[in-house]
Amino acid sequence: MELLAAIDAGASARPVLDAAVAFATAIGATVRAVHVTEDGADTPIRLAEERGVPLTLLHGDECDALLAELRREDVAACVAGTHGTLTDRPVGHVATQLLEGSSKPVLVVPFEPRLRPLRRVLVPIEGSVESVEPVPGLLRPVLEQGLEVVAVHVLTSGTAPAMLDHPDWGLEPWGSEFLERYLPEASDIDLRTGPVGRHIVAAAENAEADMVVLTWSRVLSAGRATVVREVLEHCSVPILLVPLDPDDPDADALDGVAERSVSRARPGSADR
Amino acid sequence: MMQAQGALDRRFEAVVVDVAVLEAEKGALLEAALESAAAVGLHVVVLTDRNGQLDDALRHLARRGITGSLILLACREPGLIDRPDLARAVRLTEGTTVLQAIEDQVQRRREGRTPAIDDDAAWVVHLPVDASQERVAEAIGALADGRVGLRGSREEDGSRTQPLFVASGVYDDGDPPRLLEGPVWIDLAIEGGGRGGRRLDLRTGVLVRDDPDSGCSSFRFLSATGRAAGALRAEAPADLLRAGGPFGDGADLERHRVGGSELARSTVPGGGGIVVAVDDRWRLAAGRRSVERIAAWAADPTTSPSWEDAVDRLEAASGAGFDRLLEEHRAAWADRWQLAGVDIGGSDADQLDARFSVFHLLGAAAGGGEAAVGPRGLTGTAYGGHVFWDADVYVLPALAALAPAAARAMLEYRIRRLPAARHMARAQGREGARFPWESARTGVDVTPSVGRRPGGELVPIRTGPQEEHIVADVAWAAAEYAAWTGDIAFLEGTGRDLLVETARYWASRIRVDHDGTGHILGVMGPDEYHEVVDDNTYTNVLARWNLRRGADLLERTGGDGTLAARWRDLAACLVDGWDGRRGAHEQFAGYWGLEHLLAEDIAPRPFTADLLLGAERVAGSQLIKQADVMLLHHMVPDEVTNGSLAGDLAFYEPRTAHGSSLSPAVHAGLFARAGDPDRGLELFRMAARIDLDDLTGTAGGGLHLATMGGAWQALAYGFLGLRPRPDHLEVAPSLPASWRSLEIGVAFHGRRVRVRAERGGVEVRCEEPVRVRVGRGPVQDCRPPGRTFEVDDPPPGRRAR
Repeated sequence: MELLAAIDAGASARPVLDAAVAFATAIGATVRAVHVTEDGADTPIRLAEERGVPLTLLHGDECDALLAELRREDVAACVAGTHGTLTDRPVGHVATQLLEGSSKPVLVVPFEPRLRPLRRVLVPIEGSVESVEPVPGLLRPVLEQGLEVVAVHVLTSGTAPAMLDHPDWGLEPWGSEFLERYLPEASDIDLRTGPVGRHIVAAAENAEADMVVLTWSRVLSAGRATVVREVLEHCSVPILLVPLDPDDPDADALDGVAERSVSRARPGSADR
Repeated sequence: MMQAQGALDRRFEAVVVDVAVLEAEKGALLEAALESAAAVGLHVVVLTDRNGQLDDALRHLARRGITGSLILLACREPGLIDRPDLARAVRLTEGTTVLQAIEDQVQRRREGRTPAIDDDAAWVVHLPVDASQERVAEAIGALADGRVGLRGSREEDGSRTQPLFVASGVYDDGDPPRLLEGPVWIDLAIEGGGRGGRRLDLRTGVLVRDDPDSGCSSFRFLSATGRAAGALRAEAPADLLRAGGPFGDGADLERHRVGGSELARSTVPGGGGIVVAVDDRWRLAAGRRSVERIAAWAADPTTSPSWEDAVDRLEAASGAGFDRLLEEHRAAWADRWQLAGVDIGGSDADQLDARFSVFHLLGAAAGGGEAAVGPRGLTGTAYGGHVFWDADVYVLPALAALAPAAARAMLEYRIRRLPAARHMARAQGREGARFPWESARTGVDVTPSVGRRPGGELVPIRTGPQEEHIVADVAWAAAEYAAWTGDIAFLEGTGRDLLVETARYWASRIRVDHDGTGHILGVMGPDEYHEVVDDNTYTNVLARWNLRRGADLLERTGGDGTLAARWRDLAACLVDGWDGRRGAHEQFAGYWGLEHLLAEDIAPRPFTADLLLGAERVAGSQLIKQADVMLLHHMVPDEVTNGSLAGDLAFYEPRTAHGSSLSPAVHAGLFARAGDPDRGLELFRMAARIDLDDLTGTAGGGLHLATMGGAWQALAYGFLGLRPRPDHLEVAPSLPASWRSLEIGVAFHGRRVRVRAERGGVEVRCEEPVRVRVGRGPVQDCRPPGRTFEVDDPPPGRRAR
């Protein structure tokens, strides 16, 4: 099983390579760096040599070349970097195309990430079996080595419990059942209310997670995947994006969460 | 004449019937067959004269819990069995001999085959099959005998399951304490047993499993006869079921053997425990392995039960044998349903849901000793088995009418904790008895002081210190028990302090202002969205009622008359929130000035407004969590302003989020009384299906027993308009348009009464004379077997007081 580390000649290359090595170590995979060269590859070559990782130089259109390499049967996933945090398209056009074009998981390494050995991952759960289905299988190798999985669910009008009898007891059993139903591999669940993307980032910090695992629909265009974009933009640890089947009705589930706003009272609701 | 010899109908191969009803000529062969049948506990009824005998036989069998497909019918002419009421009976076909049928059934009994249930859709609940709903299935299929509960887990356990065996009132030593998890005794080494075919037969209190793909089947029950015993039979292809122990390998249990019996025990260091003893009998025949397991147990809240306690009970149960245990158990349930059965004409679905509620209510408590009934009863560990007002206000009234001894045991729990309640009152500078919001073994307050909101923010939990209405709730429960049972001796004797000491508490709690008005400041009502309020109407009116009843009881029992007069004066000066200008009760002081929000402007109901809008926003609004003022109209209708039901309902219903499972049923009954039973039916269905549809997402942790009690109260007090009075039973039906009839049974003053309402008429059936008042008519005598009363169906809206 092989991880591809897509490195460029810029500052994001070293953290991408470091994250790839750490993730590969955790899941028992090997790492191969890839670089689409235009005019020389001194920096990528040097970095790969320093990390003891083989390097493949690719030519042609950057995204096409990376996707072609990613489609190889022995490749399990790809690791790629982002540019910055203050743009509308934080993941850069190549990385965006890579994410949208890949049917395999992509580990996105933020600019200036906080990298640690992989001990704990945060998995946001939307509230359907299908939306988390790929996750346990993907993490099984590390689960067997004692990786801790923490879940987060941001309550919406569609998922919040319809009734809570006693405030001191009610949410705990609801959360436990939610976890049992959707991600029993997780040791705990962090329940929140409010803006989904922002709370996923906060939950990752609160849990001191080393990685966030997000399933998604593979569409990062404007107006879609609001939560994914927000997490990519603000999270300081690597984010593993796991594509759902595009034909799966839940593929847009997490993307759509932010768009399903809690119904607010109309101002001045009349008395009877 | 005997039928001609022929091949046995293959339909019978998977059926073990309980009774064979035969029409045959007696002879030596039949006599021999009857002897064989008797030896294995197969009942055979032989009809020699079909005129009336069959009907008599069927009635007799029904009283034993034997109905439908538990009966095998064989007759010389088909016309005998060509009746709708025998549609589910197993019938012989042409070519099958009577003797062959008996011999076949005898053989299956010898092989210990899994019995059948009467698969009557009116009584059978199918458990969810999906793996993600496994814990919900376990709760729905839970069996309980009022003292112990066993969840409906599959015998092979597995991931995502929560098998559980708990005993009422037996807690661990945690902080806070939770129901102690006892030895689960249904473990079987089944591989590939399949997920399908689990059904709960409400009529006979049996959980069966019948997976067509794997061929695995099982049948289990907890004896309803007070034996502290239960039984399980299971069978499967021999390669799927291996012989093994009853308690599994993983649980942390003390284990022991006595002779051939296996035992296991869960204990609390220095405290109570649960011990279970099991006898297994394994068989292997024709490629199928089967097990017959009999279990017995003992539990104690304060001391570890001995091995011998369980062994003695096991010997008695094993001595009776599986078939006898089952026979007794079915008959006990048949007797229960004769009183407690609910019949709804026009809606099979509502009828089944109502029966489901009653079934689990009857398993929640048993007569004798004390009964600590938690919000989930004995079906799950949610809420730790702590006792809240859920028990007093929602569960007890139903049991007072359906199983009075069980209700009495619930009151005994409170009586034994009066010392702790008095101590709590004194510690707070009050007098009398202050029952805690949450109570477990000792009666001290076990309410957590801190909770965690979504996002992790720690917030103080104020229900413990502020939700004082529980003091009056306990008193009300005692009075409601006496109202149904007529047990005035209890009220004036052992139960007296439940009303008098609670009245004493309120007397010390009320502050009288210089203008002479009485107030109760700084409380929380049932609506927990508004945490610390003054003069919560529910609390004040119930406290007023408590003071008045306490004063009456004090005088009747030779107490201080001056004190009683003082209590009445306090009751009279207590403000009650009535606003004549608005025609409604103000829920608490200042409520009218809050933000005007209506529930359906926020989200479809039910919903948790505090989660969706934030606790602070909701607290500043008129949105309420659950019935608060409205609960008074249900509990103490004579204490609220005459004619205020319609006005309060019109005001509060649109503002009620029903964010508590306790809420919908209350409104259901009140809508019926207010002349809108169809709206009441919508809310009744919300309540009755709360766990079957897992509306709260928490049914996996146990069934909502208080909701079930509320659903029964909606039927009884709402749609049938029952109200127990000191000398008569009131009946004032208000049926939804889709119901042709509603019939329930109650025990009123020690007499079994069944009340049936149809359009324009009420039928009351009784075994002893009882006095009733139907509609606006006079109080009249009703003598056995009963009588019919005409009643004018009121136009909508006219019924409200």
